[in-house]
Amino acid sequence: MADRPAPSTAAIAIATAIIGALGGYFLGQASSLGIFGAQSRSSRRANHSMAEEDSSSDDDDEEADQQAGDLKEFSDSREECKLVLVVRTDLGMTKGKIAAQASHATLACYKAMKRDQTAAKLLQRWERMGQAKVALQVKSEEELELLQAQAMSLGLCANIIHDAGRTQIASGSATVLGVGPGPKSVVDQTSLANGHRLWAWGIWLPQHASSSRAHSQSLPPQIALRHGFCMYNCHLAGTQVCITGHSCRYTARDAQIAAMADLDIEEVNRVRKSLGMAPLPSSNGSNGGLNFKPAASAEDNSDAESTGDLGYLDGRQAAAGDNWKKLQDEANAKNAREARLAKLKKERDAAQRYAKLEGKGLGDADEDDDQDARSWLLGQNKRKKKIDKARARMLQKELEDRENQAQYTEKDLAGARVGHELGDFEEGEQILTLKDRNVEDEDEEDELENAGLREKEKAKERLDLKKKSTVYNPMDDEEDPSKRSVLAQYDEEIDGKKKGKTFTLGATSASGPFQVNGSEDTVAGLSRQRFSLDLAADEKQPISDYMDISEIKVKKPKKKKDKSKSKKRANDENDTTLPAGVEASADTMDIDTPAGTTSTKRRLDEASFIDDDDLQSNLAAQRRVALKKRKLARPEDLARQLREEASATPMDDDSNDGGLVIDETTEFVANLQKPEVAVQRRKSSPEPPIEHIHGSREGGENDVEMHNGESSDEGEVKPSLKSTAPEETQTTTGLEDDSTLNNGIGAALNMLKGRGLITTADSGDINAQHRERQRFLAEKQKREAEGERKARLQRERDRASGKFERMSAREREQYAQHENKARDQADSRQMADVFNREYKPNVDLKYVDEFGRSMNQKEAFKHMSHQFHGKGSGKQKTEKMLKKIEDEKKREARSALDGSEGSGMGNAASVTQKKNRQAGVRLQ
Amino acid sequence: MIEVVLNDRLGKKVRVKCNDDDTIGDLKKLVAAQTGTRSDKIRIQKWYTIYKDHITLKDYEIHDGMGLELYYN
Repeated sequence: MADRPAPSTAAIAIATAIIGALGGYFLGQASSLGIFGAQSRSSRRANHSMAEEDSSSDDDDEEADQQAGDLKEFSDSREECKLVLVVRTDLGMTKGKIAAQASHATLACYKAMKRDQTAAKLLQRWERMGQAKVALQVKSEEELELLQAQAMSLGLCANIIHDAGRTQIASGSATVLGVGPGPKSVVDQTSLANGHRLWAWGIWLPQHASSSRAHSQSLPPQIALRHGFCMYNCHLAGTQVCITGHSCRYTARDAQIAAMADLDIEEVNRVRKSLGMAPLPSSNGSNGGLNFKPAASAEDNSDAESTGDLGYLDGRQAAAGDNWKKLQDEANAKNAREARLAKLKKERDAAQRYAKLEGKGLGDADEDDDQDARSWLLGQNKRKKKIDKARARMLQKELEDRENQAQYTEKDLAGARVGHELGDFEEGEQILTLKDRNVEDEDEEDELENAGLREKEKAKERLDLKKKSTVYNPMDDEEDPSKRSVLAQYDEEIDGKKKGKTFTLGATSASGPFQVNGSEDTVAGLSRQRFSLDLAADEKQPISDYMDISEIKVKKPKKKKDKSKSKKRANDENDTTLPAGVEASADTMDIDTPAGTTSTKRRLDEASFIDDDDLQSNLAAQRRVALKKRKLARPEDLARQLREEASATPMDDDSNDGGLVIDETTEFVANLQKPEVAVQRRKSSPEPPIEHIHGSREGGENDVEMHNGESSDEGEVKPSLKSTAPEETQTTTGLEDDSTLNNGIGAALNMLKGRGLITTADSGDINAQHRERQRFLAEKQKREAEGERKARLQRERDRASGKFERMSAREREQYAQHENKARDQADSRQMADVFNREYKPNVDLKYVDEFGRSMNQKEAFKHMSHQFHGKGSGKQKTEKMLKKIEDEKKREARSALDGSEGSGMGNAASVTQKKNRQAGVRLQ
Repeated sequence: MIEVVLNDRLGKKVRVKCNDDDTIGDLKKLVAAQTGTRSDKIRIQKWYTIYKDHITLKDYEIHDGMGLELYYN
């Protein structure tokens, strides 16, 4: 705006132009054409080169003439058309004036064009394509005329409007020049020199855009504006503007909306140039309409390249060609290089392959001796000799080598230590290896060992460890206890492992590689060792679990001796007759057996009875009672028997041998014991001395039957003592034998008791009660019998006194009744008395729960309480109870074999066994 | 060269050819040349980001064929 002399006027002019253009379709004709020169202009040549030329007017004329005739050609072309209105701004016209004048110019141009038939199509096109109008300004009439001349020279219609001069300006002054409508390219050539100002341009948009769609497709697209004109408001100093918006199209979806103009690149470039911005890259600078552009000529390319302007497409294409060529060259070079390398490699490989095959092959003929068969035969001998010689030489060399080679013989092994006893080795070849040892201890010597033997040793050690044999071995030879120290078993732990037996290998003779060296600790020692081993083998035989027959043999005569001795002694005692005051048990003991044996047996008794003190005391009491009873009878018995049976048969002796009067209680108690025990006790129990007097034959075997026959009305089978007698002698360990069921009810009871299945109350109390009861019953019977007897006596007395005779039969009856009554009363009174005095009721309340278990007092109370309240115990308690019952059942049902359960030791043993994964049954 | 489409959603939709090293200010001038609106009255934005005049299209990562919003202030 700054370089504009009259901005306000210009604005008015623009507005006028717009209004005029908008107003409608002015038909006008340019009245005059002026030709001016002397101005540099950018022209578009036919060949569309960008070059701008400053040429003389003559040149221009020629050109114009030349191209004026071309205008007709455009009638068929599709190039857009435009009308240029050049307004003089030096007149100071107002907007309205300018608009009016522009309208005049437009109308004038249109009318002129209308007259020309040839230009009808052109005009039509212009009309259809928006009637593009461009407003330019000039500052003088001369310029105006110049432009007119130019336009006319190009064959364009160019009219200058001269105002009537009635309002603002002088009459007849030229105001507006209208050029065209003409094809854009032609118009551009003429009027649009540098320095002209673009005021505005405008294109009419047809109202029926949709109807003109068809045109828009057939025609070059237009720059369209909505409802008329859009103005360039900015100053485009020295810019030539042409409108070539060929890429624009109608996008009106409705009448209101239209796409904005899409400017061509060159237009944009022009705009950019005017804005001082870098132009967009394009292939060739000012490329106009499509039809005016023939195929890109070589000139263009050369131009583009010569100017250094890398054309947008062509330049790129050219560059692309270069690039492609370069790439191709590179690829070719690479290929060639690779081929060369491959060839080289192939040759090298071939050379390497044949490197080994040098010399002559089978197929290759000898080239040096191309001799005939005869000479070859002649030479054959010679060759053979040569070969033999070579072979001999080879052999000799080999032998020498072998000799030279260090021979590894026994000498090398001399002094080597072997970590085993010589005796350990079995017959045959042995493989010895170097023993592993620590790197650090260098003082240790190398040692050889046999892997198999070492394994065996280790296994043995492990086994020993596992066995964990007790320190004290009673079976060890007790000959020299001095040899063994007390804590010998710790020697190994303290002093470290024993070095083990070793020997060294020597190389004294060549007989065998493993020759023992002659030093003191080897051969001699070994031989000694061997002997001693033999001895040891004699001495230490494996101790069997069973008693040896020899030992038993040894003992048997002893026993007999004992017996005989005891017999003698018994005789002695019998002679002296028993001292009265001596305590029975002790003295029978003395009588029975010699002191030594009795003492051992005693010990046995105590050992086995230790667990039942009550029983023991009871037994003692029973024995005493029995003895006392017998003692009463004894003196006369003794005397009688001594006299009568001085020459008694052995049968009698047998019958009395081991004779023992046993009442019910003692029998019962005896059955509670183990059979052996019973025997023991019987042996130690008082026996009548008769046995000893006539004791030519002994043995506990037979007396059992005798006892059976003689004693007790019980149905119980007495345990057979047959086998137990010899066993007794063997039980040296002092432990109980395993209780078994085959020895009768007593044994069974004992076992059950041992396992806690039966709880025995105080057997003494029970016995006492039982006896009391029996006694009471017997007494009662006796009393009844007494009563009976008395009644009979009374009746007899009455009969004798003649009491009955005085009475009648009825009276007698009555009397008898009375008597009976009285007697009964007396009896019952007596009985009541006795009953009151003697009867001790044995109250035993037994409660049984729903499982059949007998409950104790507490449980019973609980049970009854629950029943009373109608409410049981809780779930947890019930469960606990059930579990308890279950456990009990389980315990009771446990296998009879598992007798160890009662003692804690057995349990512990089984647990350890399980831990050590050892199988086995503990035998007790 | 890239082409940017500017739409004011009031009826104007402009395709503008430009370089990607043009500033937003340049773009505004081009738009102004095409639409006739004064460049200082144009505001270009994308969503809520208002583009600043001195920053190039490249820096805003505006590529060929992208659409921008055209506002007037």
